Amino acid sequence: MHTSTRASASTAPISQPQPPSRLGAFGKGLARSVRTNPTGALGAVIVVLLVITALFAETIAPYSPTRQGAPRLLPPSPEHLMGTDRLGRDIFSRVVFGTRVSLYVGFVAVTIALIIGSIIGIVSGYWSGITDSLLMRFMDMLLAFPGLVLALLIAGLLGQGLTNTMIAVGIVAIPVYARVTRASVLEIVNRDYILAARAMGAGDRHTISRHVLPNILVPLIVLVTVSLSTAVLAESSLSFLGLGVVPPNPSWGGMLADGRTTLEIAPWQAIFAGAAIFVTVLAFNFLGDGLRDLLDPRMRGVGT
Amino acid sequence: MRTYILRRVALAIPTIFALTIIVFLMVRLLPGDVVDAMSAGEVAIDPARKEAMLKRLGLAEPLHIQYINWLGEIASGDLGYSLRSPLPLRKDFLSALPITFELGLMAAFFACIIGIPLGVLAAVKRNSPVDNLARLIGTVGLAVPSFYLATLVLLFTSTILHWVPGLFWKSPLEDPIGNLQQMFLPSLVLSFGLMAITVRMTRATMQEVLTQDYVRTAHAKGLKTNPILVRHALRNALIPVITIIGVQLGYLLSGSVIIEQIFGLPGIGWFFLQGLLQRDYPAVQLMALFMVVLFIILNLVTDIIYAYVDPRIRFHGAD
Repeated sequence: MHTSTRASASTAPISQPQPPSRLGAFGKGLARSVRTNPTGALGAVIVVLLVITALFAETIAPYSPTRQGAPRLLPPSPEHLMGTDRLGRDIFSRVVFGTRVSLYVGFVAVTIALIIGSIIGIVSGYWSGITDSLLMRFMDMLLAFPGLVLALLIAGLLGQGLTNTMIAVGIVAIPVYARVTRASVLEIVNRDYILAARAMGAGDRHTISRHVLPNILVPLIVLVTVSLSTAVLAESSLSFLGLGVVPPNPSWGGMLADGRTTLEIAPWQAIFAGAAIFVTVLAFNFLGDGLRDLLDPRMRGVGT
Repeated sequence: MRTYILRRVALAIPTIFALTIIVFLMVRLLPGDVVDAMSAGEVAIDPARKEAMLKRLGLAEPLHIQYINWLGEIASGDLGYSLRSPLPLRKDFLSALPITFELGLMAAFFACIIGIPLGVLAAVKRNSPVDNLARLIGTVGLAVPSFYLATLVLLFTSTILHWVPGLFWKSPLEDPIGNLQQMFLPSLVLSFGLMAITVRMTRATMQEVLTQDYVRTAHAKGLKTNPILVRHALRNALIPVITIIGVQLGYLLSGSVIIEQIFGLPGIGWFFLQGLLQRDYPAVQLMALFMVVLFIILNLVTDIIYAYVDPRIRFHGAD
């Protein structure tokens, strides 16, 4: 989506003699945010590249991620850009497909947290009282666990695998979403425009969907970006510890753990898999910080 | 102040109780039981024998009886019985405790002793090389996974220095030098994330404090720069930094699960993960409960310190 708007923004002046003002303004705004927030822009570029890599992994990867044909533990070379692992698989191809696993788990986990967390937050912020107290106490219970400990417990409980990893990572993030949503709802629920809507006879459903939701979107958008980096990190930690994505699926955390067994004779697998995690987390952090500065300066410090 | 502390402690107790139930139930829900795991080598276990094993392990009782038994075992100090050995978990727990504590305290120490001075220097000399270094640590520290950093460090030490982590933990009482040699790298790696946060916070609050009127007044009075920095600026800048470090100490627990695993240190996190992988419920629930309770206590202490430093909180922000 990102790329298509950009492409049309750059081709617009050629196809049309009079540049449309909205696109022009968008381009100018983009240029300004790149100037004022270079790290945020860098983060955005890397995230777009990662998404492209994940979507077109089959085209980008020179080999199948599970093919074991090549000699084992080859150092990086033109045929195998990142070398081969102890089963003779091409590490570059596995890193490319690992992007898909990592982003897929991250996006789904964050979506789980966003949907459940924001529903809980809206319910407890909009209808305060006993529901609010109970829900928030329950969120406090979840927050009483150190994040990785809770994720490990849930992952151990559900068993390994892609879906279970998503659920474990998602559940851990729910309380943060619930709290941010609730705080935002509380902030606006007594504003005049909400009171006016109610006074005019708007029902709860209408008020929430038309007046509350649009006004709490900004902090949620920022939170989504920031928590994507946490989710990617959590998935790779679980996979590294052996309770995440199952081995034939190429997961960066699992590859790093696997690479540690041959660290002294063939360190490249561990180095490249770890670098992939690092760059991805860094990119989401940059993008999240940039969006936060751009959209909502008050949110500094939330969600890390 | 006293009322505030009492109220906070009173609120924490039901939370801890509720968490014992949550931890207990979560662990019970783990798929497969330990008898399956123990008899993994055998093709089919005789049902009567399985029944006997479950009974011996106390797993045949109804859940609420098991729960009450567990609380009793904790109260008695045995802390429950591992399903893999006849000894009470107390022994494992007591041997694990000092390792995790030492790891956490050393990591917090490194984070402060490197993070705070670096943050101060970065704030005083903006856009200098020191400031760039501070910003680099503040950015990289938040993004580099601890297990990656640990792997890179081990790669370096094993290939260049020919050092590998020891097989057995050396107690600081018996072998203080060996202990420090062993704990130095793991705690430094563990501290990196906290160090990043400390540098960021110190730099930001210090920059803010340095623009305050009282700092300017101190300059105008003719005081030397260093006393101003330490006595006027740093003292005020440290309040939020301490709070953040206090809250983040709890997150070191997450990190220590990974670090203990990589460096082979049998601490709380190590027993937790091993228990999880081997379906040893009592071990998992004990270690998980301990980490949760410690996490709550750390947050409580931080809140109390903060309330002590900033009186406004005592009267308003109780929730």
